Amino acid sequence: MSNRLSSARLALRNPGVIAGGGILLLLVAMALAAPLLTGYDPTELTPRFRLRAPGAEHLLGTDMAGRDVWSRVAYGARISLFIGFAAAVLALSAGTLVGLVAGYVRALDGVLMRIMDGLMAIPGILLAIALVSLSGASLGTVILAIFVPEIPRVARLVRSIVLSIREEPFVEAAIGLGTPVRSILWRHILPNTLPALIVQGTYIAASAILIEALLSFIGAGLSPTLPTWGNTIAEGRDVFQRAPWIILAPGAFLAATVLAINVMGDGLRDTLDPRLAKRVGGVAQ
Amino acid sequence: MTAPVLAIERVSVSLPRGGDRPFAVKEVSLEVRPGEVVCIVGESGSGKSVTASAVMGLLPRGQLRVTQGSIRLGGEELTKASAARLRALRGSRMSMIFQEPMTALNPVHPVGRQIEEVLRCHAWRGDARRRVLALMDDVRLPDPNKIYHAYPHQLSGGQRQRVMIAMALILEPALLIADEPTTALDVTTQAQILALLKDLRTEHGAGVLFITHDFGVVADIAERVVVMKDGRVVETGAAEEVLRNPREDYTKMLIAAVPKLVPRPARQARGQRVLETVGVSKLFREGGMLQPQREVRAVDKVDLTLARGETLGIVGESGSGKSTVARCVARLIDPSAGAILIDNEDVAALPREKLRGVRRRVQMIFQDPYRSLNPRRTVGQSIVEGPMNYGVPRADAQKRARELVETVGIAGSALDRYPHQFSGGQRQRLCIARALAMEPEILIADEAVSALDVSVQAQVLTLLEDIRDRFNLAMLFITHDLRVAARLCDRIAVMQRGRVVETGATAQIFAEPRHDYTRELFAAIPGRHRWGAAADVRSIA
Repeated sequence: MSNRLSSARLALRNPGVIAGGGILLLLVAMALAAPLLTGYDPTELTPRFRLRAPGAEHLLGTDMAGRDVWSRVAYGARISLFIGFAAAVLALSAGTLVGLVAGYVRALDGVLMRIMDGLMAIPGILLAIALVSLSGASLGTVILAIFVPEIPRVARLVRSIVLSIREEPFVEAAIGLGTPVRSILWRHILPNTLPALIVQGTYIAASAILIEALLSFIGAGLSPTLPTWGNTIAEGRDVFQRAPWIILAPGAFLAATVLAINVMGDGLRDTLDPRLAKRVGGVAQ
Repeated sequence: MTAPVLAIERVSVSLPRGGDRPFAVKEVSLEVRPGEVVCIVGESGSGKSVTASAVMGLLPRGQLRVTQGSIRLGGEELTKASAARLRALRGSRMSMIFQEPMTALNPVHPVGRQIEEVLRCHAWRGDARRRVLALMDDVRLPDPNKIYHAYPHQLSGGQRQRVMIAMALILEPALLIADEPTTALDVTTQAQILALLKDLRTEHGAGVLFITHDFGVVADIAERVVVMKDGRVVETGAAEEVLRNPREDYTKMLIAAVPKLVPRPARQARGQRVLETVGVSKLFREGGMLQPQREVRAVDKVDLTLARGETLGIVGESGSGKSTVARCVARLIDPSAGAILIDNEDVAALPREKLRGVRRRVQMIFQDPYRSLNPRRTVGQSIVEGPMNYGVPRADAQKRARELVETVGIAGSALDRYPHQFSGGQRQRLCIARALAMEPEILIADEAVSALDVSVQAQVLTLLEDIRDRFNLAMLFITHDLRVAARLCDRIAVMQRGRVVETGATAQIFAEPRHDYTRELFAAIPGRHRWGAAADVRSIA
């Protein structure tokens, strides 16, 4: 089953893809329709209504500054999902470029992969904190801090696929047909790395959303005035016993998002990337 | 008449829904008696391996299962046996050897220990080590004491298969199932393993169920034959009888499709010489910074010539360097020394950027039709790629592609489809069309028919012959199979360990092989007694 139409159809029948993708679509819809779904500005401070419990007025209650938690969660989804998507796309693009060149151009392989090894030797979260504190926190730098540590993993994955595909007879046939190197990479090798990349992308997106929340939580992330899930959780920390909803609501959405992406990723892996897929059926012992 | 060790009666195995047919095998019946070799012959998809797996209780669980019929091993019903009972029977009463001995052995344990493990698993009492060494001696492994401690990668393919056979026979099973056990081996090794199996059957008295696609092997080893097609038994009978008087059309076709060992009559009128290699060598270096460097001389001073309209066969076993020569000529790899003259221009040392003109003139067809076409591009895209690289407008290239696809016997509508929608033989035809689209002068076929079923192989060979004559191509035909070479080649070069040991017209080499190695190759051809040995050819000539 190597055709892209049939594997796409298979993917859409996978329960993991359906469930994870469905939840993710709902979350995206919620983020986009945030102004319609909430009656409050997520940054509006109304100390009068601080620490209200969830109820008819405030669906998920209010925080210490009287901001509506539901509204902060809904708007926060925009930032979380955007960061997850952007970090995945950027890490995949950069990693794929490095991996393709390292895998196909032997002269550059050693140099590029040693740089990647070096990058990998630094713990990702420390590198992210260092990058953010060097340049100050903005959406751009947070995304940069999250996607850069992911590049080596993608590069290694792509390189290993390139190394196996470049030995395939159809690539040799293309060389024999006089196809220039860049077309071989673009037409023959890159499309065959796509399934693995899509799967890897889902994992990067999930971890990016978590890291963003973590950076916000420890105060190294986006400005505390912005409604992100991490910021909201961080602010609720001091009053957790009095007003647990401030942490539980964004926490539940964070968990649901990451879970949905991972479930979808597992489903995609099983259908798109047979190299990683579990075998169907058992082998007699 | 003795009781059969294996009796299969009207066994059907169903396929999961959505397959191309409802049954993997349908109402198959056969018997194997003690000391008898029964061959199941069939092409891919005939259900011959599924039958073997059903006997062993090794059908993939949840996907395939025996839905009707009975399988009895020495009177014991296997279809209803528990998993534990089957496990106890496997290895002790029935055992199996596989096609690829490298993957069937565990690479991290010495082979002696792996054979011994069979004894341990079945709680065998006695001196295990002595028993293993005796069996290794039985399967004619040289120096059993040394090989006992060897790892699989340190042994040759033939030796690994002997280890597998020793492992299968160590508990004296009543039934030995051999699933294409010689297909991955060189022809001379194959002959030795077949002889060994024949001897062991008499020594150990096991019934052998031998699965093969090769009627040559059948002629050499079988006492009875079961011909299968599409999951059903087409014909069964004594091997002599079936080979001499096949009743069914399908059997007749299969036997007729085996290339006969009769060399093609010499054709005169050699065209202009287009290819000459002078002292071409290829060295591979292994090792590096931390290990001592080792040089492997894959190709050693090879001289060949090839003219238009002519086919030169390069015949040799694995490791002989035949494919390396082909890849040097196509400049997929760079030769270490020597000259490759194409139309009197030396291309051996041309830098890669200057190869464009050469690439167009030399085209290659590969062994594995499933990997030679990019699975993510339509057949049409693959065929027009080459001409468009050389500036042919898309519309013209597509028109030409349609003509070529029809030339190789496939409907023009195939262009919009993806490779997985075609069978192996069709894909190989499409690869030929892709090569022809470049209007090459030299066509290199590297084991191009080796992966195909014998009936498909015959068709592709006819097609290759046809296009060679139609387009006046010079063809370099790499093969391990002398029967195929006899069918197609005007001249043959025999390679061994990187050197050409003998070259000559096909008829001449078949009539009077001069080199010892060539004679050895001839002697090893399966079914040579039936379909003409060198001696018979000489008497005809």
